[in-house]
Amino acid sequence: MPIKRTLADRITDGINLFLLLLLSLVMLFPFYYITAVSFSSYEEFVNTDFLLFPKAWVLDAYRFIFDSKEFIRSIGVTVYITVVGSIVSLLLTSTMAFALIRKLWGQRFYLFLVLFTFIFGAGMIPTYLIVKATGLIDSYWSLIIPDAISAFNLIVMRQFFLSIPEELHEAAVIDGANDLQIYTRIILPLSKPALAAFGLFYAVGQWNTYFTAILYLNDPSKWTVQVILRQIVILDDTTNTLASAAREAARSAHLPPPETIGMAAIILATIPILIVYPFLQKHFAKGVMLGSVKG
Amino acid sequence: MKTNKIVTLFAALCLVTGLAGCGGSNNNSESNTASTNNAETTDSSNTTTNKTNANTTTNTTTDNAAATTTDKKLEISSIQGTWASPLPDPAGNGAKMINEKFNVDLKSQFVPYDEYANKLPVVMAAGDLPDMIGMEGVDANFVKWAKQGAFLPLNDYIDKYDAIKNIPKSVWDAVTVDGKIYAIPNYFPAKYGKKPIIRKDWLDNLGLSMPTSYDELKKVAIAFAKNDPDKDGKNDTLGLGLAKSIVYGAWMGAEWDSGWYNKNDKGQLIPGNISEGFKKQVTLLRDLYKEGAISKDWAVTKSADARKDFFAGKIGIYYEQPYDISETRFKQLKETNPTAELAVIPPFTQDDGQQGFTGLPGYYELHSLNANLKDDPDKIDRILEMINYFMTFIPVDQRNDQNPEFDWQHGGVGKGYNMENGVALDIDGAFSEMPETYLGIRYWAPTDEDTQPAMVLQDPFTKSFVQSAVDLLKNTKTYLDPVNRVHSDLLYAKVSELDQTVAEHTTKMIVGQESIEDWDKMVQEYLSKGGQDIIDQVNQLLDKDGIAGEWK
Repeated sequence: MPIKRTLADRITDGINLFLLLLLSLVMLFPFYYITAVSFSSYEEFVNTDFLLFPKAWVLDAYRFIFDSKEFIRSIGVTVYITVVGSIVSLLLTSTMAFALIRKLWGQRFYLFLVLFTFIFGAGMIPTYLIVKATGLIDSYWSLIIPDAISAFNLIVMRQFFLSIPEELHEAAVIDGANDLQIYTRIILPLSKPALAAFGLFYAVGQWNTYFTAILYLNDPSKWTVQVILRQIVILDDTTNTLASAAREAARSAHLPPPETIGMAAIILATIPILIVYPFLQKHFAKGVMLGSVKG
Repeated sequence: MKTNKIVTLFAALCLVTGLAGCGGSNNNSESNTASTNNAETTDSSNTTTNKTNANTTTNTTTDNAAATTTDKKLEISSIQGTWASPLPDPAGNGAKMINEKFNVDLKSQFVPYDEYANKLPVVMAAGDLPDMIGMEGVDANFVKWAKQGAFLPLNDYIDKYDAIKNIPKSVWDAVTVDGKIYAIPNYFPAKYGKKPIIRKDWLDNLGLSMPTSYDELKKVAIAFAKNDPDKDGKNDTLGLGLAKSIVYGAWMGAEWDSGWYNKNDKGQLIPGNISEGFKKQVTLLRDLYKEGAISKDWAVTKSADARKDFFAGKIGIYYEQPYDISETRFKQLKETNPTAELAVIPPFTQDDGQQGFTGLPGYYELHSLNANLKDDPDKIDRILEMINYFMTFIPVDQRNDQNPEFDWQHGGVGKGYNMENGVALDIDGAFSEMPETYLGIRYWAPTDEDTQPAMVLQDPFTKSFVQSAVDLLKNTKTYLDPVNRVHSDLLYAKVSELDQTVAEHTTKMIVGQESIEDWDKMVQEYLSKGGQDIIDQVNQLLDKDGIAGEWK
């Protein structure tokens, strides 16, 4: 039987609805604005204070981007490191989390080591030296391996694994399963929500790879889309007049206006990861909750 | 060698798993070792990695090299920042042309300037230093590294090279640390930096004349905001384009801007932003703000947005330079405002009778050499020879396909550039075709006038503006700020923080949250927080080296 709703209830609902609509508008609006600008002509962009409905839809910016090898190539690079990086990260995180739920000798010590990295990082230069010493410079692996395991994700995933009843392990052992089989046949299938959630975390992290790409990759043709994006988007806003002059000179080729190209590039670089999101979303909410709240 | 084992192991792993992207890692670790330090490591890494390419440098120390130097192919690595986008391909055609002409194997690495300041220190700390290190300007890092001996002192070498030798002393001073020259700067005209420009058609529309003092400037700017200078019947114009942190303000001469021109009562040079002259400028801006002649939002406006508004025809006074500019914005202004005319506002007469703008340091970007090259005179010579070659000035009227040097440097007509109306125009995105891209060296113009920036422009409106600006500036004096020529560690360490505080105070003064009467209090704060120490040190350095501000 439906609960009868009082007037007060309905007013509260109405206010809630209104506020949520407002909130989503606030969040969606920048995207809309970027889209509108990316399709507008430079003349219109310059002469309109606040461009909402471009009169003519111009495709110059998109044409420029699709004509430039760099952008397409960098999208490819980013897709590659996102897919490979997420898989590697999930594999390493889940195996380590699995190891850390067992009552092993020195388990506390290893947990301490993991927690230690929460507070103390090595810093840029030591990390660079290690990446260099292991020969990863200029390889895509330099973007994947150094940050493959996030200590936070590891702890949460371990917590998730701990919530799987210990009796299941024992039963499996009695049935003759070894550790690897327990991991692949019992733990992983039961942890799909957690894997989806952390997979998404890792994927978004990899998709946004920017600084490490500049640091570890010397060959510009290997740069990720965020690096290229920043190069395209960055507008002349500097107090150093010489730098702005040089930037201006570098721009002086007959390109479409940087503003609209920038906006178009943002749209193109955001869409792929947005597409992935809805498919993982239902696992996502569930997985994060399950990991953190113990029932 | 534990490291090598790991590398080999890793490489083997990559081969086995056949994962893409790994090949690069192996290659690079090798080229990195090659570029670092002494010849010994270079040799060993080259032999162990078993490169088939016989051309790669083997800096074999089996000497008596003197006779064979020019025949020997040298590997030369470089790292430099760039604003170019896309970045030049390290293996592009231009690089190949250089390799052939100078018998080298050039390994250039380009990094966007946005991140270069982060990357370079890491590379330096890791000991990865290439043979040539580019920087955007002299800063605390440059001085530190020079003092630590990372760069090669060049004093003994430069006299052999005609173009390099001609760099004026005021610029050499900028790259000199403790009497040693540590870098070769690139040319940039001191005269042709950002200058205040005004909509001359607006002046004419309102029957006003070119301002010659701050009082007149104030009247003009207010009239621009209030009297509908563009005659469109709408109240949609502003007098002066101002952006946050007071970029660019209203610099109408050396006395009033942020360069070190004014002196305190002890006779010491002081930074412009705490001088009486600057106070005058801030007072003007405050008045303009009160009258609505500058944007109400200026304190949060980016300079790029202020410029956009100027070129959309909404602002009467802004800053632009006649050198190294893009024609797009000018064309845009002329299309939307067909009657637009631009002119540089001539500098105002100062209280001391002088009249002129503060100039730029006279260089932009510099290249240092790795100190480890000191035992390899062949390589030093080869690098300087290349720099000298690319620095040798080609007069503007000879920059065409008839001049073989120009043609070669630009990658050849039809490939790197096209000839249009007798002017060489770069082909879009053809950076990688042009040898001149790869070393990042620019022609050193004998005088600023020799640059003739109007000659290379196509758009008639831009061209006429640039020409008129150059004509005006030719007969205008330029003040060379001496602070660019000394290296004060206190200045490097503290000045940006102090400047920040001053910018905050002056911003508040302009918008009326703080009284202009508090100016002296602000100056005291600046001085007591370390400003006086900076002033003392800078003046001491200037006295020691006998450097003074000069008008050119």
